[in-house]
Amino acid sequence: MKKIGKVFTRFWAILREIGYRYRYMWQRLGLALVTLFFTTIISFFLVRNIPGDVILSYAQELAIQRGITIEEAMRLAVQILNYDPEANIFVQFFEYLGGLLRGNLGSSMYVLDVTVVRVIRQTLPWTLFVASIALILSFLIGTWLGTRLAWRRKGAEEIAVSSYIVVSNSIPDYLFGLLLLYVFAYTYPIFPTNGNYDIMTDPGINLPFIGSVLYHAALPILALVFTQVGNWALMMKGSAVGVLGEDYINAAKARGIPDRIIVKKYLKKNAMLPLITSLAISFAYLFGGSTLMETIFNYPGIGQQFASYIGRLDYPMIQGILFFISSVVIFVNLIADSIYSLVDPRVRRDA
Amino acid sequence: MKRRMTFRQWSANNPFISAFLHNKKAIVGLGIMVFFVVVAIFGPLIFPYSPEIDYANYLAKPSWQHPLGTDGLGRDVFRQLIAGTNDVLLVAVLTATITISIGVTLGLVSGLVGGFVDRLIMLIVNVFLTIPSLPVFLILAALFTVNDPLSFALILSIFNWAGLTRAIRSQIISLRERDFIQICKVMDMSTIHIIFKELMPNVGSYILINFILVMKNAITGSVGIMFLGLAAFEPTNWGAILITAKDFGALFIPAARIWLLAPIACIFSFQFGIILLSSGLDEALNPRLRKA
Amino acid sequence: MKRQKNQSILPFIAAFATILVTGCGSTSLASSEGPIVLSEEERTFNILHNWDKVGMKNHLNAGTNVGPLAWFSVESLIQYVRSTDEVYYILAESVEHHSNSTSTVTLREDATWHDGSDYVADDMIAYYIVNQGQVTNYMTSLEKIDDKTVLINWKPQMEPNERVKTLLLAVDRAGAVQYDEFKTFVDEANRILTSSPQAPSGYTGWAPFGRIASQSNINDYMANYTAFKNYNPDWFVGTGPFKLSRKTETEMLLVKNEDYWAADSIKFDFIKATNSMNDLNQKYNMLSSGAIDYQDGLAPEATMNQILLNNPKMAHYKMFDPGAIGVVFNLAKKMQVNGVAQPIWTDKVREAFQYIFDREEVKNAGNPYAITSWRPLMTMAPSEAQKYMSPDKYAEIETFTHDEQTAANLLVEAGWNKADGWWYNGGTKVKLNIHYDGSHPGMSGAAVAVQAALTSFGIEAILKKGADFNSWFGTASSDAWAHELSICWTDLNMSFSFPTGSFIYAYKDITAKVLHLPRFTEDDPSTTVIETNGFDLTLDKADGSGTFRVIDVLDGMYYLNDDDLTEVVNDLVLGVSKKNYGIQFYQNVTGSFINIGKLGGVPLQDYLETSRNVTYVPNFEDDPDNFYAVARLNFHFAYAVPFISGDLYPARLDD
Repeated sequence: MKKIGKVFTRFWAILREIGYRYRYMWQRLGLALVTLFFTTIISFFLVRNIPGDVILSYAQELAIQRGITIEEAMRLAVQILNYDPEANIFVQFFEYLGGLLRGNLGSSMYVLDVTVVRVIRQTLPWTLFVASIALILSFLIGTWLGTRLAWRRKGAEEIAVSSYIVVSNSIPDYLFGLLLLYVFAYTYPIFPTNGNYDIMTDPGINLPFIGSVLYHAALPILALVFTQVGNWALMMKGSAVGVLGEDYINAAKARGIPDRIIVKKYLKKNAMLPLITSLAISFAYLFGGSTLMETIFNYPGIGQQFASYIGRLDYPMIQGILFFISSVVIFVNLIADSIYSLVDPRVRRDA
Repeated sequence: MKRRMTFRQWSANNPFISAFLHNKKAIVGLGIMVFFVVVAIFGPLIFPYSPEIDYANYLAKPSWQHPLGTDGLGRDVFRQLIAGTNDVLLVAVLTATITISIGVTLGLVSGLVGGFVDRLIMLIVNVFLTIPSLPVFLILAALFTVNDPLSFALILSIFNWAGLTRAIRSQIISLRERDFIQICKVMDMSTIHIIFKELMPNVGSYILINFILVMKNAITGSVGIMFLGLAAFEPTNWGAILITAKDFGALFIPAARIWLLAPIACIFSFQFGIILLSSGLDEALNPRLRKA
Repeated sequence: MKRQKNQSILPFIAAFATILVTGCGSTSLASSEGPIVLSEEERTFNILHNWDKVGMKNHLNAGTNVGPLAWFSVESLIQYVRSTDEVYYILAESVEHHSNSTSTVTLREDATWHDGSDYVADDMIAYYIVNQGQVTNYMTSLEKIDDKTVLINWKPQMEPNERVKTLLLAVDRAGAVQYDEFKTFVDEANRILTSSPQAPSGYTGWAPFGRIASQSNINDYMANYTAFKNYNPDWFVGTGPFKLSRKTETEMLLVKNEDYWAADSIKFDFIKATNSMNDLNQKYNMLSSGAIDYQDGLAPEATMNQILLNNPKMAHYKMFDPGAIGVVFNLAKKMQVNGVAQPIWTDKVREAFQYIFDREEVKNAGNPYAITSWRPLMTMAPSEAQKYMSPDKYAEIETFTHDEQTAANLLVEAGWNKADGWWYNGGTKVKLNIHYDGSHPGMSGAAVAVQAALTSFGIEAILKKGADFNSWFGTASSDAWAHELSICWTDLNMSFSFPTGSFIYAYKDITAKVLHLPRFTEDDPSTTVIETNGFDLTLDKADGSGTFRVIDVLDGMYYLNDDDLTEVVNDLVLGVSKKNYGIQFYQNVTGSFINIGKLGGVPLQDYLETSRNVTYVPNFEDDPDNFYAVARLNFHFAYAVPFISGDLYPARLDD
């Protein structure tokens, strides 16, 4: 009996230890969940208020005549299907929450078996693909540039890179995408003008398909990388400059450790740390801002689809996709925070 | 009794101003921005713009009468740009003002008061930081008719204030623990005094730089929103000229390229000026960034 | 989303793969006419279209946008070419109208579905039973005589007149429902129909197949119809000359249906569509670089010239369009007048606005090739009005001029006043939001011109662009529409050339909603159940003998004789024109970009030699052959007809 008691106490102590050691992470998790909840509230009430009272005009059509136009018939279906605009909005909200917990993010008002989940399944991979590659590339190139800038403070290189940073920051990424499209797709047909893969290839793990996917994604990724690299370089430079001022760097120099090793072992790793949370922010930016890029390149990602649903006033879809995008961003932020706290013990300590 | 100082003496005595004036980037950046302000205020008086259509004269080449040629409907591009500067600047400045006001106020409150209020504000900040901005812009633009600079600025501010609030709050928090603030508290100075005389000057530079950066974001954001056709626009707004030209096919009509490139150049130079100015300010205020 | 991969296409794909590997170029797949060897590119017709990227279903009636499949894969019994009403018999080999209120439809012997089975009477009847479109209101029943013959019984009290019957049959896409595939839904719809009570004899209200549906019937029907729409067959249900072969979100490949009854006359083997119809910039660029062979519509003059310059194989034809573009007012919009919210568009103000614009300039900005109109909104385009009204009544429609002084006087009479260069109404500065469909170059240009004109007149105006028709209409038709006016079609006939088309567009589908005309409510004692939620509009009769309600005359036009029809049209058009509900700027001329290097058999060859921008618009009286031929160059009007008839074919076959 006593042994069981002992084991239990030990077990409980371990739990408490984990709870304490990683309290930073629990805090962040709790925060993320609360943020998600508020996001849901905001997106729900925001979307319900879009003018264009679809249901009402649909009801009017039903009374007039059997519609020949697709528009009229669409709306009629909604009425049949339990969407009651008269119901109390709070009741609707709780029903919506319930649906969310069951994994039902909503489905289109016009075409019933187009659900949010289905749209996400089809379009998300493309957006993620472009956004992730752009993020990784611009991060790697940017931090490399930033380190060099911080280390060597003068010379032609600094001027060139600084000018590049200023120039790339001055032009919005979608405008740059437009220019790229014009030069490299329309005028000189080096890259395709739209789409995500060649119609004559079969989706799957085969070389022609993968090749055409990369080929079609090249210009959007290029546009994103071009404009993002500058930001990363600046951030890295700022962080690196800060690190350079630290004592251990001077100590290393005094000890005669070669520059190359200082840069590699001390500078890079320590300067990168604060940038990890920026990764999450950047990802959120790329993800949320995909709409413009995708519209310009006619790239069928989630942003483009979202814009078209807003145009058609398809409320459940708008709501569902907004919720999903927000959740992804919250989740990514949570991961970034957790990684940061794991990597930087000071954060955990000071929580 | 204060001695009157000449500007030179004043600038020599004030370390910030002298750093600023010695920083080439900041001077150039400031110069560019001042240029645009002057154009916005005086431009329409010198080069008034009338929106009448002169169809016969469409896509004319640049000339003395039309320094940048005419657009697809025969109207002077140069004057359109000048007329539009006002609108663009107004939206940018309004957005920055609103954002800064909200950001500073909430950041101060959050940092100083602490406790539950602090946690509540940080929660709201977190929510706003994680909801992606563009999708919400799209929805908001469908919801509200954005047809005057103020409402445009309000919408654009929605996503800019959150980051600023958090940053200001952390600065306040780190400052309030510092010695000189503790001394003030011991000496029983009023909170208002502490805020305005001690804290603000220290975050002042940060606020100033962010003011400018928010202006930059506002312009990028407003052009983006107009790109997607979501805001009502004055046709002279640079973003509007850009979209109209693009939809005209100006990309591949040689005579129309200048019509397309001119607003891009304006947007670009304005952003360029902002970046230079903010970078210069940053260097002037942050000694570690100054060239060694 | 199931991907379409028809098994019989595999050999084709293998062939392409071989060709691609060995280097594209001429193939040894000869065309079906003589020894001329055409390359694959020459046998592919490239277009832009627009379909649902997610969730597109495999039949037309599912409510999803199927893009080019609606043109080339799904067919009607009869195809009419919009704007000319030229008629082609497709799934129906012939239609005979008898004097006893019946018609016999003989289906084409070798018409088949894409899955190989024959198109039979059951299929035709299935379509009408499930969809119950407009024409079924005029029928009592459809009888299957044999597999290829159907007898239509018309309702004697509502029998449409001769010329309308054939066209009515042409409106529906009867080749969209295969009985075998949709059996459960058709049978259920039939059950609901036959269990509904019969309408009393002589009943002229809404009663498809002579049955009046009770509320529970309606619910059952809608539930069944919804299930029908949601059903997704595993092949695209169609009978047309081209079949769906491959599809991505942004591209679609259609391949020629070798079993088609007219396969011999069809010389193109592939149709490749790119999903991007609303991006003007991409459209122009693709025309300019030759990536597409056809595009409907116009472009601003400079753009057009540049496209033709950059692409020496591109030509542009213009054709007559039964619609007019102009301003439609939002009658429900209010503004603050002396502190009280009042409607802006009072009668005097609307009349004043008719004088503000130099309509010639607006026309130039929108569409230089169009025909300026100085009339108010009439619900019929001037060309149609001239055709269907009596000449004296047509002449009575008021024409305005560009007279800013008169406009100013009228505004002052309406209570507005001008101060420091701007107009005020009851102390509030007038500011107008102009909403328009940004994907239409004519409306975009006209909107800019209108904004300019208003600003110089002293009324502040700004522009709000809708990304495409759906987003414009979605906002403009809503109760909370925040804009004062819209630049859009003031009058348009989307159907065959009969007045009903224009009036349906105006009073049922689009215009009345944008105008925000008041509707009947359920409490209104003057309405019957059917009229509830219809638009409440009373107009003066043309002969001055009193007034009439629009809703009373809207539905019966098909079975009026010519004289009565003229009288009704006179009433409707003259009556609404007096209301100045909108400003008509110009009767539209639309056009088609045609790649004459790819398409042979195009008309007006001698005009092409002078200039590839053909400005001559043939009309019916003087040049009927070209009138029909040019209209057929517009695929929105003609669908697959030019290919089926063999009128258009790869250009090299001309040599």
